[in-house]
Amino acid sequence: MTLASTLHDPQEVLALSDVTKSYGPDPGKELLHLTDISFHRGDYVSIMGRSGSGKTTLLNLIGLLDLPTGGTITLNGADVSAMTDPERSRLRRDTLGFVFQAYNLIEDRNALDNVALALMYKGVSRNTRVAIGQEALAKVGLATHSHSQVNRLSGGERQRVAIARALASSPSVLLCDEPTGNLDLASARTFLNLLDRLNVQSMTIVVVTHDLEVASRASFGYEIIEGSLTRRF
Amino acid sequence: MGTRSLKQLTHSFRKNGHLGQRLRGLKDLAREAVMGLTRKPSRTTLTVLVTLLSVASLGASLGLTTTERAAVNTSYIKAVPTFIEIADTEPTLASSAFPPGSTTKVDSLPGVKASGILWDLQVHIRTNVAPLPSRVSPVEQSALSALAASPGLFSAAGSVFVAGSSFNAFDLHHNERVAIVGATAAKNLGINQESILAGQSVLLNGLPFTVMGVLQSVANEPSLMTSVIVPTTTAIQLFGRPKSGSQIDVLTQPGASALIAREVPVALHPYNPTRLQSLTYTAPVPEARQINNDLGSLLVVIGVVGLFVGLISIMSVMLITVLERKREIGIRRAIGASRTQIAVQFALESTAIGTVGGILGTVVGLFVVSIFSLSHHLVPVVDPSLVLPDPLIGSVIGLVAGAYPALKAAWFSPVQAITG
Repeated sequence: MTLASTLHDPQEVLALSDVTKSYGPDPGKELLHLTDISFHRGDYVSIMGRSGSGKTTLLNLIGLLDLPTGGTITLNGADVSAMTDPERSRLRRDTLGFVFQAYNLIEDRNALDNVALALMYKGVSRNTRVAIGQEALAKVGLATHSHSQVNRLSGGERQRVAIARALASSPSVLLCDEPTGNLDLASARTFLNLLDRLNVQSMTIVVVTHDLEVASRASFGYEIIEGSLTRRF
Repeated sequence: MGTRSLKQLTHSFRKNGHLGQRLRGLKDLAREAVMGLTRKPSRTTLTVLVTLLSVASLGASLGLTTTERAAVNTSYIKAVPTFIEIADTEPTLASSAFPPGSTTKVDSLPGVKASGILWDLQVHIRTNVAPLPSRVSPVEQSALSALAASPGLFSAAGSVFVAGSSFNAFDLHHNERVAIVGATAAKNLGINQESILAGQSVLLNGLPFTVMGVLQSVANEPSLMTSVIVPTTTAIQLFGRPKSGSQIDVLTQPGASALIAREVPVALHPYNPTRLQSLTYTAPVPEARQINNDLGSLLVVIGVVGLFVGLISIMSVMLITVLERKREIGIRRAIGASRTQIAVQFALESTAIGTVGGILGTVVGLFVVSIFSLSHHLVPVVDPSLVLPDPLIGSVIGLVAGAYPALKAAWFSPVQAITG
């Protein structure tokens, strides 16, 4: 057991330490510069900010889709910046779930295929994948749509398929990027109620949004101002 | 000891379990690859078609090369090998190297004109006008031999009869005591046209055989000229099975001898072809070889260019596919696919295209060779060692062509890919 893991708070899921992210040829021009911040098991966090403020970039860094220019990101006590690509891929599929504004589903496949895909990369057998996938779709109220082509579903249904895909892997952290951006009011509320229920089951949820109503559902609220995170509530 | 064995067993189970999981992962990726290919069926079909044409061009080139070689060799027919001796390398074995029906099998091979079995009888030879003429020296007497042969042997040996004729089916089926005598043997035994008409016999181990023909000459198998030859069925009945090995002589179409020499041992002893040894006689003249080489090189170059075109086509289509599916790749990466998994999926897609194109291309290639040969009155000569690997060549082309697009797909940054 290393000193770092000995000191690691078992309830701490995600920690960012002096994380910076720069784009373009000028390394001095930082889009994000985040001092120490950590999220714990069961936290429901919203991150707000103006368009272009770096909300999605932050979510991509937390979700291991992108690497920081500097600093350290720790997920379940492991420094992800030092990891190889296969290690990051494994951590992504074992620990994280994503819900995107644009759903990011494979459009010409059915709902069940989309949900079961993440499990395939985990090495889960086909029969188990189908069983878990159908259970996840049932949880979001889409049991009867499991064999429907995704491109024939409504926006709200697609977002629920995306949640079912995220839930199927039993992630400890759910990352949502403007999840209600393409939904009507009723669908958005259904979605937010589902997030509430997941949070009650101790899932850590990080929602990036510019919608005040969505943000207000969270336990903690942050805002990105000029590349830095500021606690709002 | 027990603990150690248990540990080894546990390790083995873990290892196998890991392997099983990997195989399952590969099967899953193969299924994803097939689904990827069926997504745009018209594009997949066109890419398969290009691969088909490139493999077919190679197959047709190789087939036409072999066929044209045979055709060129016809011009040099006297110098081209058309005669093969297939000998038993293990004559001491109890089982016969050439069981009944062997010559029928050989005759059925494309390119074979005639074949016949032959073995030495090791019997004492006399005539019924004994003793032998006084002019026959003891040395000449010992040079005479008795052979058993099937009727096809005389055709295979290119025999010309000065009197009488070869055995027929009746002689064979009724174990007739008849004999054919080579010109030298006839001279030594005092046999001539008149004595044949008078019903002269030859005594083999004291058993009389009616002489029914005399050979004037043979193009191949000169030993016939100094021999008394009896039907194989009669020989087996009276003297038993071959004691010191037997051989099959084969007369082939010009240019087909090398192929037939390889095919016969496999056709007769598929599980132990090395039991038989093929000896091919004469070789192409240098001019024919030069023409063959030039023609072969030209057609092979055309085939290889065709393959290169196929390779570039698959690569282009796969690159377009990868770029079109960039967002999907990003989604797969976001939900946990590793670079290797992405690369393997796309490599499997291109390999599948290559394999299907390769198989169909091989069939089309053979069809082209057949049609061309028929329309030009040529014997289609197809070497299995050149044709059978063609589907595999398709797979290799698919894999090589797909390698770069697959690596490109794997190296997309998830963020860049998902945002398009």
